Amino acid sequence: MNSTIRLTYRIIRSALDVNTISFLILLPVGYLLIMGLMMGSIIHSFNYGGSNLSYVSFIAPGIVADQILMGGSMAGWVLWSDKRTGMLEQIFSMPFSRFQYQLSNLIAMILVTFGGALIMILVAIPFISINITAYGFLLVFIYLVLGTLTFGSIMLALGATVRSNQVFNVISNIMFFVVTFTSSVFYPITSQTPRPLAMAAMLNPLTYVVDGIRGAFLNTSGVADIYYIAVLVTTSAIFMAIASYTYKRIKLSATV
Amino acid sequence: MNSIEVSDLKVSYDGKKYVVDGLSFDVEEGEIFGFLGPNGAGKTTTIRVLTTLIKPTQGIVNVLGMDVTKRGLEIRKRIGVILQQPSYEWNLSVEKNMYIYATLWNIPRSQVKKRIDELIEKFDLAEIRKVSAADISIGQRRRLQLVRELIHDSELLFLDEPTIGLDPIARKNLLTYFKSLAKDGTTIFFTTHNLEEADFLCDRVGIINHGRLYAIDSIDNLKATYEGDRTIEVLVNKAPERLAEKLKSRLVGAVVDGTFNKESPIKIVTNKVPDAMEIINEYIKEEGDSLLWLNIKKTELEDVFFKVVGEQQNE
Ligand SMILES: Nc1ncnc2c1ncn2[C@@H]1O[C@H](COP(=O)(O)OP(=O)(O)OP(=O)(O)O)[C@@H](O)[C@H]1O
Ligand SMILES: [Mg+2]
Repeated sequence: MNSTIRLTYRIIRSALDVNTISFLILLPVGYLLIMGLMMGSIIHSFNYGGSNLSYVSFIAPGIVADQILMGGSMAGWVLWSDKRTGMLEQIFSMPFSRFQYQLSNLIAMILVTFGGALIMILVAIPFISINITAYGFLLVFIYLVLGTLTFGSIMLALGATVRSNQVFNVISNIMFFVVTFTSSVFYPITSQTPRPLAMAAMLNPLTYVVDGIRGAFLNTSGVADIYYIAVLVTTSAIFMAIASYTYKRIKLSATV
Repeated sequence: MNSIEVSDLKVSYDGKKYVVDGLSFDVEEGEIFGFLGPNGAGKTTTIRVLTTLIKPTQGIVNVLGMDVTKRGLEIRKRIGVILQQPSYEWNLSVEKNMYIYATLWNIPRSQVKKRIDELIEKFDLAEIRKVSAADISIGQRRRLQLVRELIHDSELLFLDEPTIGLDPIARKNLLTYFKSLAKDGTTIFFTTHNLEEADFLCDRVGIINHGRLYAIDSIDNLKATYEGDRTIEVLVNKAPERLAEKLKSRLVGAVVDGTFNKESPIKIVTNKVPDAMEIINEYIKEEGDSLLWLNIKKTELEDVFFKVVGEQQNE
């Protein structure tokens, strides 16, 4: 068996426990039901891209994107936990490259996030107007992979650099909050959006993830996807490079 | 052939101070080499370089004939590493910890169960086999960490204070096992603070302090060098510095520790105990002082360090 696959297997089996995985997979469904019911009771439907859309249909792709962010933080958390239990140093002394460890961590998160998105889509079908094609499904998968690579790498770089657990948690929570609210997860970015917010959304990789997935859900994908994907390939590459750089310099035996 | 070749190795973590400062030594294939030294001497740092966890700041290091800076992955395929830092999969049982480890090492499925069952039996882990690693004692975790490393074969085994926290039976059991591995051709690089252990296991030892090797020899030769030496600890009331001075100037070949004060005794390593006693008596009479504490003991590892390092400083 290939080294990266063995490492991925290990992360799913041991660094993440069954409860965490179930939570991650079931979270989007719960999120959708609560958000859909709660927000749907005040915002019934609105005009999006020329047609009338219920809020719950609007938010569903956003939840997948949030799930990607969550998966990203988990990647950082796994690194933290491996540092704390000494497994990181041990694995680094085994026949794996550091890049393989990083990659396997991201792959594990892609699998978990994909599982969550799949279940959410299946559960949501009766409630939302979703019009996803096989091609759209492929697009969702591509956005999910690129989103996880981007945000997972950011969190891995953070996990490799920061030396205290609290600092890691605080930064990752603030980031979660800022990244979510400056993207198009909860509201569409239109000409009426305040300029600073629109600017922030444009610089925020999550916006491209959400818009791309939303297009796939509503079957409105088109040439814009090429642009979105190009942006996300670039951010993935940059942040993965940064993460592997921090890995090379990681302080060993950081016992907490 | 040499399994390990280290030439003028220097390591600095902060770019200023060398914590390993010019080490050179070889370890032969099939040899059990003991690395002894006080806390902070640089043992773990050396092991990190040899296991390719960190890069040498300076010097040439070859492990199994390969340069550690260039062929890390190939080296890591052929070595086993038990780090000083404990490690375990906290939410898996002892047995599952071992299975996951076997997967990481890509041990063929057909062999895994037999191998793990044997090890569990041999190292007395049956009782905690199904218990989560989070719920076992610290010594039991150490045992798991050690036994886990025996699932895969290695040509060269690094053991960084492997027996810390083990009970005497487990300790003996493991040391005996390591010895049998060496007999079958495995090279072992081993650090410890315990001279008895080194004595039992090692063919040769190196004594390191402040990142430098102060002695490197077979156990028998080292012992012969310090045979007949005794460590005297003496605490007096009035003028310990004067007593220390007297001892230093009149006891030929002795090493007198300069770190004493009113609370901690003067320490002398010498093979001339009667002469030393005479000097102490003389001092007491001259000063009208009283003896607060006197202890004469067989020289232990600590004293060997102290003597080795002390001699180095006197030169
Ligand atoms: N990750 C690190 N970053 C900075 N300095 C370090 C690091 N690890 C060790 N040191 C320093 O390097 C020196 C040597 O440490 P090392 O761990 O090699 O000692 P040791 O001989 O293994 O000691 P012990 O018997 O306590 O295990 C010490 O002064 C220590 O403070
Ligand atoms: Mg050490």
